[in-house]
Amino acid sequence: MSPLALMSTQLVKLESPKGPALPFLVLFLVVVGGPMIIERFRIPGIIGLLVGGLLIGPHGLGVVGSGNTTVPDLGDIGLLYLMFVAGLELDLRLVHAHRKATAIYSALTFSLPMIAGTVAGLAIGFNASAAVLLGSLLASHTLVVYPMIREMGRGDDPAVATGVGATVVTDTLTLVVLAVVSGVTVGNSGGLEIASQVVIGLLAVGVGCFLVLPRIARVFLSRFGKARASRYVFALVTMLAAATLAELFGIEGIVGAFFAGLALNRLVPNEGDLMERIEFFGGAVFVPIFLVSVGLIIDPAVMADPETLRLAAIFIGACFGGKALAALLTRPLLGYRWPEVGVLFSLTIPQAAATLAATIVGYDIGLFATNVVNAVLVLIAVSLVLSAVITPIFTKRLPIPTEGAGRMGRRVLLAIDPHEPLRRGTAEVARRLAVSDDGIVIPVVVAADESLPSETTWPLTEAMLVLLGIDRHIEVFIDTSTGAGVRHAAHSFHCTSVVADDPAGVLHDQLEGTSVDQPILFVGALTAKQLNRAVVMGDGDDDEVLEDLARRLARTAVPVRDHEAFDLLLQPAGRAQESNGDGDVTCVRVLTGSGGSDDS
Amino acid sequence: MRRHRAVAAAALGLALVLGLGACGSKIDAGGDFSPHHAGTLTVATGEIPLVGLWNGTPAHPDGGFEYELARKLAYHFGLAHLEVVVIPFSRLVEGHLGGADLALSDMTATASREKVLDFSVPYLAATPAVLVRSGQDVADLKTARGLSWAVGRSTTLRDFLDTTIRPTGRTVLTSSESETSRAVAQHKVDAGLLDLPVASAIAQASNGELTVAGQFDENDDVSAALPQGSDNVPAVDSAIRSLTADGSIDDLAQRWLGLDLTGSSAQDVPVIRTEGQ
Repeated sequence: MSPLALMSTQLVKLESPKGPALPFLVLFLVVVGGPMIIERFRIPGIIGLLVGGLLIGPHGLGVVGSGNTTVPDLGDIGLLYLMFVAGLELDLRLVHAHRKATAIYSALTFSLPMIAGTVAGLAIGFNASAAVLLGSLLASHTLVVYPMIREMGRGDDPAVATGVGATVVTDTLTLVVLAVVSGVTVGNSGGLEIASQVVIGLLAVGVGCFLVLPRIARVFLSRFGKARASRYVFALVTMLAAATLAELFGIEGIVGAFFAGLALNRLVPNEGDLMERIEFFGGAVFVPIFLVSVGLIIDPAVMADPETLRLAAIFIGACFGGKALAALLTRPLLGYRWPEVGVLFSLTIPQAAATLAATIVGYDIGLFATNVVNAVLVLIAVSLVLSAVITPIFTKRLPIPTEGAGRMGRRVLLAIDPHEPLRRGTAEVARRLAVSDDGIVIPVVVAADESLPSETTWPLTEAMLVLLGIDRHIEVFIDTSTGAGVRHAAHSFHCTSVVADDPAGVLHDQLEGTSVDQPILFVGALTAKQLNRAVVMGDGDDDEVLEDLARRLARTAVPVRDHEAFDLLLQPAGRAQESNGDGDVTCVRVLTGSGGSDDS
Repeated sequence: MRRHRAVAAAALGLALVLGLGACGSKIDAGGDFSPHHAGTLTVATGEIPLVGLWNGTPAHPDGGFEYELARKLAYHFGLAHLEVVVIPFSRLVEGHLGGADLALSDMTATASREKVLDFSVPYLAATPAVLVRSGQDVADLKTARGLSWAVGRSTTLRDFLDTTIRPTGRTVLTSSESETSRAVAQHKVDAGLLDLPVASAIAQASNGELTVAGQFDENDDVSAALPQGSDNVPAVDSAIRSLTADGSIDDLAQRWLGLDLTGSSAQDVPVIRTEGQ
């Protein structure tokens, strides 16, 4: 061999990659490319991830072999994450507001598909455990189309709220059934003993998640959670801790993860920065990897098998039939009209998170073979496509919400004076208003263009806000005047209300009498006391808004005659600030947006 | 009236679906197992006795990890009888199961074997392990290279020895795992390369004469082998997953192989790294 040839072979000596880089490279290429490609065909991106997993898995190109445990392990974490986010995202305020209808519909939409699925399972030859597990996973649903309904402005419709609320119940019951079936299947004890153990375990997980966890979270977020990264990691810790707690009692970790999400629901507003981070990492990494790992299981030979398709048809029939019957029964029982029935059906047929979770666990414990898993995957695909198609059809037939029925605390602008440090009490008022609607606070420094704001105090203000749970960067808005800046910033950030730190009443005087699109609260005098008792001194016109605010901001609203006992005073704009004599009261004047001239 | 008709229609549709489900052949959710001989699970293996895996005699096996696993599988499938046939390992890996439903023979799925056999999900993690006489130390790959070795002729471990360890000393090819361990015990070679569970069982049974000096950081999972195209694979997979989930396989490994499978491979055996060497 010539020296040059020898050198060439020594320079270019390629070896087969042995480390984890290649499988992970392929995995993330699938995560990036799968949804992108499949969505071009107007198919939900989730299907792209499943198909991608199939392609790279042992039944496809074999890049991720059957012996690979890393991707499935990561997929397990992704499943926990999926259930955690499912609990976090639920709008519990809506659930509470429509609790009676929610209770009735929950019973229907769980029990009917559950019975149908169990009977179908027994009819086709499943044993009791497998049939019951099948019934429960058909009874669950995931709110895949809820964002679509919200974007169409019908998110607060009573029927939608009922469907959302039912998700908590159906998913929780599905996971409870899963815990019992799993315990009976893998445990060595009798059914009664297993059931007792599961009940005790669920109680322990419930106490841990709903009583202990929120307290720990509040302390951490208010005292130690200054850094945004640490807040995110803390959220991960709570998820994993709850999952571990569940597993200690022989319950599937996903139950713990779901409960942890529910428990932290009020502390993590859906539109806040922390939720955005949680959704970002979930959407970018954890959940897609879980879906790809599910795709690894798909065996096209089995999926195309007539027996699998027969199973899928039966599962679809039992699931959709049960959900349809539940939705139809809301007409005689709850008085819903056809569009609401249709929306309920479209909202509750998508099968994803809890269905996948229960199916994979059933597979892992040997209750389900590959053909059952593949049949469920067909069901998932059909349910996602169908719900995506029919949801807009029914949703646009729902009544359009009346003007002014919006949620004041959804997006609260906290207007900050660039020259004065923000008072903690004002930030607290904004926070309470946002919490009342599971909303967010958007802190904005509003300045007139002739006085540029100094940034030196902002880090301190941000730190103070973060410790209050207001997890957002401070924005800056410069306008011709502070008053115009507040109005325009509120419009620009799509705010539903404004809270302004206004000790001297300067901003109030600027805006008094002008036309505004949303209520503006001018916080004047501040007390260091907790806001427990509020009194409204209205003029009749805006009393309804003021009384609503009183209920949101304080624990109780007291009658005017009991004025010695209040610590929060709400008045219409234009009045001089009043007090209860000793001056130790928070005084808020409210401009509600009726009448006046526009000074734009 | 219209709403009642809609409810009735939905209920009727649901009943129809359930009725259709009841027609047609029955399906076991965990997969259907159809044995060659009704009521009997026939299992093939390459060697009896094999310490830790198959105890007793070919005519009357009476213990061991794979024997007990076979019994549990028979029970899981509702089969009253278990029949064991001994087929040389070299024939098993060529796809000749001698009419058995499946083979349990410390076998790893490889690309060439998958051309003639179907494999179940793994039931045991099996890293390549070094069996030596007590007192001998094999701390690293360099030391391993300087030894003489015994390894099974038809096993994946032979490939591992040739491509990764690349010994400079003599290599003896054996036809069984017992022969490999005897070669070590009789000072014919310095070390034997065996799957960790087997090496561990042999060392345990040797009264301190033999020991497992280390394991290599390469995973070779052991699976059940079935005739190619067998319809029983899903059922066997479900059964193995079920036995894994309820701890049965862990218990068997602890009892017959002296291994704690919780987590990954046996934690007490040192790992000999091969990457970058």
